[in-house]
Amino acid sequence: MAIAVKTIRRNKNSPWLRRVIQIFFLLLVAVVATGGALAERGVAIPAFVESASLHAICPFGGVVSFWQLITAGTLVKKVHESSVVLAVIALALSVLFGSVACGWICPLGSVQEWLGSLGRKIFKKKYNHFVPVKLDKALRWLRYAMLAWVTWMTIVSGKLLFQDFDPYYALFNFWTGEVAIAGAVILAATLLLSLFVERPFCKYACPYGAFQGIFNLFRVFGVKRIAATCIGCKACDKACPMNIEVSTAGTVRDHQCITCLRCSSEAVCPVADTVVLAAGRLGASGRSETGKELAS
Amino acid sequence: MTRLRTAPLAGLIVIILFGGILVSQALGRWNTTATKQPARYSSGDFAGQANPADIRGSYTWQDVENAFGLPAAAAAVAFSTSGHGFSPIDKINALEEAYAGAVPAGYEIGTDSVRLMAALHAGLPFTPEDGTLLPDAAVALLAARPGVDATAIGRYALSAVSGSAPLRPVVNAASAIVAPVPTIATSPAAAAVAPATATPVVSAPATAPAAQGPALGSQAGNGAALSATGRTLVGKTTFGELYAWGLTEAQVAAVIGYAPGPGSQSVRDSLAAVGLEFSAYKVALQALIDGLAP
Repeated sequence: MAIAVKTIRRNKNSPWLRRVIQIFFLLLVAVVATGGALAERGVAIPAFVESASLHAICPFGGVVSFWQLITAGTLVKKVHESSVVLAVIALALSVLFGSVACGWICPLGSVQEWLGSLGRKIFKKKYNHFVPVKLDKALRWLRYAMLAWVTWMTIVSGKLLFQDFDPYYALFNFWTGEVAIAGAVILAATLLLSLFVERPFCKYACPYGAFQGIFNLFRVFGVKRIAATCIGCKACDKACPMNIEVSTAGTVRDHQCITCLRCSSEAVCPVADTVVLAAGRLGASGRSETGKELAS
Repeated sequence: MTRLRTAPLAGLIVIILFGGILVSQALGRWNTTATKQPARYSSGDFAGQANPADIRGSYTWQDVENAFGLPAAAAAVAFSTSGHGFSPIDKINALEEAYAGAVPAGYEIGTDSVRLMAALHAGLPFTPEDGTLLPDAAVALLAARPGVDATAIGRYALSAVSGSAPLRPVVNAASAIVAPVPTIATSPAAAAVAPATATPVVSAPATAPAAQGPALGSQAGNGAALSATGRTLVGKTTFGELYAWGLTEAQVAAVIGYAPGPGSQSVRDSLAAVGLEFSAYKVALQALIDGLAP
């Protein structure tokens, strides 16, 4: 029996909705990073981040503190309880949606992505395909080595040693003079490489992205491709910032997926309800079993 | 299969994130700053006592005093330099900037120095990081305590690694701990005035190397505190004079621990009125004065 394929006009609002949220979190983190200077000028700061440092709102601090928290009941220096709270919240988001914090919240990811838009205009189809596939695949595991190294060094030293190498910290502190040379160099390299490769730091080096990515393997809501209606145009593959082959997947379990939904039928996929974010199993035919929507 | 579109996903992200923060606030877990209550030793002879290893750079000298009993005013003065005068309300993370370039390569005077000092003062176990030093005035402050092995403490002195002459400790009967006054490098005039007999003196390195930066000055233990700025605190000095020299009411209050009296009142009289010894606060106030621009 032939399956009717319904094409739709792309919902242009979806990418913008994510962009609005990305901008919001970028501004929020910027406010926190400059909080002291703003307060001195009498600018009101949201109460929940008042007097907070950048470390206080970084969930990764909560992640690398876990060992000290369990064994000694204390946190790594410069890490506060709010970091642990955010780590737990991010964990919940990851279990539900995968690395959604990377795709929607992380300001460093957003900045790389926006620079990537410029790179895409410059290099057109070549953009994001400069790195040979084999090398690219191997390099993607580097971030797990980073995660292991950062976690181990933090456990051993009880300090946030990664701060000196962290482009995220450098991005929001470049004006303070507190940024280590290594951090500044890595930030500059990240921004420069973003013109050639989309989200280079996320792909190859981010330890928190590596941690989040683990949850893509068993997240509740995953990106699913309905094979029965897929026309094989590979628009989803081309749109994916992380170079994931969505067009060959049933459910995307790739540890690099950032749940940006640029591949979805609400964005680039030309066929309605074919690439979707959904929970539950696909039917034997590759179709949705219930088609039930949580919300629309 | 339950589908989730972009807009609800966006809403859920925001709701879960900020809802989680609200819940944590309600539970009293949303703390974005250090509590200023250091962790405690979990085992051993000192179990239950505050652990100086948990002192953070965001602590003020007063926070350190509250947790470990190290007198804030005296400690702040002991760590002051000619370019940076500290008061009890200052954060200790300012030390690294104050001593930048003044400490030999491989050594540091910073937050870990305060941990070390708090541990030595309270007799608590603590292993400092490699290269952690104490200003000579801080070593002198510790060495003045009864029963302290001054030689053992002396190895942490800045002068022990920078080649300058070590300091002799201050002993002042009026106060259990009195820090020497850091000032501009000792002037010949000051050296001539400083008593050379029975009065205990903190002596500055005779020729402080230029690279050492924060130089420690001299102080007559019982007389007027000497200053290269020419602004010397004596018993008759009034609060008004302090303000005229550039100190603020808040700075003075931070040292003496209460709101200063009228400008016409002498500092000594004010302190005596509340049962405090002028000599116990003189050095701290003089350090603030010396920290002002000439």
